[in-house]
Amino acid sequence: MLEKCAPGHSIKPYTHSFCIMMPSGGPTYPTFPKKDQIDKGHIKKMARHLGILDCAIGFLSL
Amino acid sequence: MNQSDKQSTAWPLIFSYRGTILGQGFLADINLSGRVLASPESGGVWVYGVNPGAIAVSAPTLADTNVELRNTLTRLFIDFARETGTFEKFKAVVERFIAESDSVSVAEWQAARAEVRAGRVTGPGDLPKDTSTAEYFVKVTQKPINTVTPQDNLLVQQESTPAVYDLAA
Repeated sequence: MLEKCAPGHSIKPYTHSFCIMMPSGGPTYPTFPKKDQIDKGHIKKMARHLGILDCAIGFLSL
Repeated sequence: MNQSDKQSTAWPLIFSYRGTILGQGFLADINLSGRVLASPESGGVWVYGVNPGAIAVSAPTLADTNVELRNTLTRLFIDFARETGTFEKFKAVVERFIAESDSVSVAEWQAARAEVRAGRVTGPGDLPKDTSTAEYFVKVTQKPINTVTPQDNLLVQQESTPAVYDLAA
């Protein structure tokens, strides 16, 4: 989903979470949970914060 | 559905957080007041950050989200301390994290506050009402080693102490 909706993004693993960064100094989401199963609320909040919610909805049925 | 979709009930809350983080050769005191939107949903309560915008937590009850919010922030600040080599960089990263938000979340929080002010939405439980106009603040200060006292252990070790919610009204 991020490949399509957030081209150029990068992901940095923190000890307790993943930090997802948009390119060119764009918004950063440093609290994405490190879990096998992620609740929709986390995905929706991350997508909204990064400004890609409309695109993400099509991928994830949010 | 689009980026302005809304939950049916939303409580505009103000939370406070205070803690001391040990970084690479520095101690940092963090004192902040932030904004979140809490929403009862199936299976519990979700709390969506406004300032900071890049956070969401859920728990069976609002009181439980309070603990989860504090713990998530503390873990993140520890990660920030690991990633930054100096107090100045740590301070800048924390300040950016708290300030960064999105316009839809801010608008939803303000709309929810207007609903509370108009009496159309009542807050959860007996939360104190906060009518101040300040929306959020964060203060990150360096604590010189020679000013550290045993009392500081209370702040460093208080991971299980929840943040404090007020209802924005």
